[in-house]
Amino acid sequence: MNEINIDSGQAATTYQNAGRIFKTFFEEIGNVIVGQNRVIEQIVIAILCEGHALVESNPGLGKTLMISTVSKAMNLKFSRIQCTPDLMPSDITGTNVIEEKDNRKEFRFAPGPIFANVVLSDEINRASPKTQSAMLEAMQEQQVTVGNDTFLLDRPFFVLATQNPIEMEGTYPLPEAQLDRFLLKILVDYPSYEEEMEIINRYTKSEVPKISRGLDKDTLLDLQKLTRLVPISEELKQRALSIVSMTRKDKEHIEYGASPRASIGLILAAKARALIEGRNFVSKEDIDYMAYPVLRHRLILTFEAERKGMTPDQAVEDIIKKVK
Amino acid sequence: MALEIENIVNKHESALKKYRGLYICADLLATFLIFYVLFVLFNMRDLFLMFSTFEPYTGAKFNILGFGIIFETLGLIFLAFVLSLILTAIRYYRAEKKDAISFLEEKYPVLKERLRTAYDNRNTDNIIVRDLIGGVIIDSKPVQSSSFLDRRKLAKNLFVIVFTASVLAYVVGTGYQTTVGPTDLKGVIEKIPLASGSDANLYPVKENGGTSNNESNPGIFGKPEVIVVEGKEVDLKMPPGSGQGFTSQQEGNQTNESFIQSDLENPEAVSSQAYYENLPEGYRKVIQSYFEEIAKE
Repeated sequence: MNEINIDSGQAATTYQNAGRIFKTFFEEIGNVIVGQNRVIEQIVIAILCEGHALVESNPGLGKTLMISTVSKAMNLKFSRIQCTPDLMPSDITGTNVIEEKDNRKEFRFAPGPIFANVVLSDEINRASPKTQSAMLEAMQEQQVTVGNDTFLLDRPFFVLATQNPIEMEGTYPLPEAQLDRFLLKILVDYPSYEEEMEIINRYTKSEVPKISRGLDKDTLLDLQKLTRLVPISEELKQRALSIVSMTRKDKEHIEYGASPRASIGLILAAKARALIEGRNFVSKEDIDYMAYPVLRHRLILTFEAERKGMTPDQAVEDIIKKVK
Repeated sequence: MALEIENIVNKHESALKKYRGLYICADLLATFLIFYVLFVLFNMRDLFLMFSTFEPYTGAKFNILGFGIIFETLGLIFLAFVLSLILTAIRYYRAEKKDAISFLEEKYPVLKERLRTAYDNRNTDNIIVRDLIGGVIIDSKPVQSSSFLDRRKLAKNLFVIVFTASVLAYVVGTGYQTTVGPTDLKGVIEKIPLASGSDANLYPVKENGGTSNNESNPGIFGKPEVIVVEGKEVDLKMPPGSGQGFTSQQEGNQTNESFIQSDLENPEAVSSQAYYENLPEGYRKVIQSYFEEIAKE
């Protein structure tokens, strides 16, 4: 049974070289970004799964640098949207502008920053709900509707939205239904002492590190298709499903659990991780590892759990331990 | 490729089933021999004498395959077989059952997770699955089904079988027997205060009553007393059923006389005949001499 119709010759070449491709890719990223290997890996996983990621970190941890470096390494068009409370939907999607041509005035669509392959939506929780919806609609449908015209977004299309965990006053936190649209929620930690020393050494020189080599778009599209072909055993599918369904059953700590979208996301993310690691099968470790970024933004803890200082990651950890 | 991976798993699965059958047979035989040896050592053949259902068959010989086997031996064999069957069934029901894939993955870590994934996706055809199945087939080539055999478990059972068979041969050959039997166990059970449910000093009362000649309970009735009055022996034996109330052997004849109400009498106390001064002839002397004999003792 052929699952996806792809050009077998090209895909075979890409598959055979996948290990080398990813190794080179991460090395190139490492020339610019110090540490944060886990974050970079999860961003790449989200791209391979044709999903989107929400990054939560304190200011100054290199979120913009990370995603712009990834897009450069993948030879993809990059755009950045700085969300503010006065940002309008048309500022994101684009708008029709009047253009005079040959003494004739006509409307011309001026595409917004959303028309890129990699979009960084910085501090998405500062934008108004209306503007957030415009962004999220583009993420979900991979198209933009302006007036009566619909414009398809170029593939691959990846949105990295960021949130600042501090200074939440005056912001519009994303509701649960919209958070669910993000495949992963990635937490960025402060670098270690040694890593920060390396950052200082690299970025206080006259020369700023640059990426020299990249991954072309066609190869990335092939890798996205190959991700879905990675086989997974029935036992692990059941494990993934058990983990997600237990989030709905653990009423002691979790008020609202994850939806079936999380089950799909978890398996896809595990497949992507297996491909990055150079394996042709999904392992139990992939499922357990990806459960945290897939589930942490989809759980609403009970008041009592929050009062005790429980985090969603701890709730996920408890569930993973219970599931055999 | 799908067929090849299926054949590999099926081959090992059937080998595993054969070995499981072997373990069950060895366990069953070992358990059976243990039970049978214990039954023979502890004279459990006497058990059949204690049940009235089997009593008529005790000592009877049955011709089986040219051998004359007595009923008790057959009974013990059957009992040992049934008990060992139950015990073996319980043990195997409760034991953890692993399939061939789990066995292979445990024994050959290079196949861990890969074999199961390849097997589950054997009907899927894409470049990655083909690569996985190909790799698994190559890595499965050195796998031998004989590596699944738990030699230690079999050796243990074999030792038990040989040992118990030797003990049985010794017992049968020398006629060795212990002095412990089911009746001893019965006595032990009865001495347990709550388990027996009755006072150990009391003897059960038989339905048809007992006589002084009842040898199974020698203490109850004692020796029959004989009194000689004027040169004549007076039989003081208790007739059967005395003191037990009416039994089926002592039913009175039914009469259809209608009830006749007695005359109303003065309800004053009537003294027992034992205290009558005028006893029937012969009774006074018998009673007197009885008490004289007791006084002498």
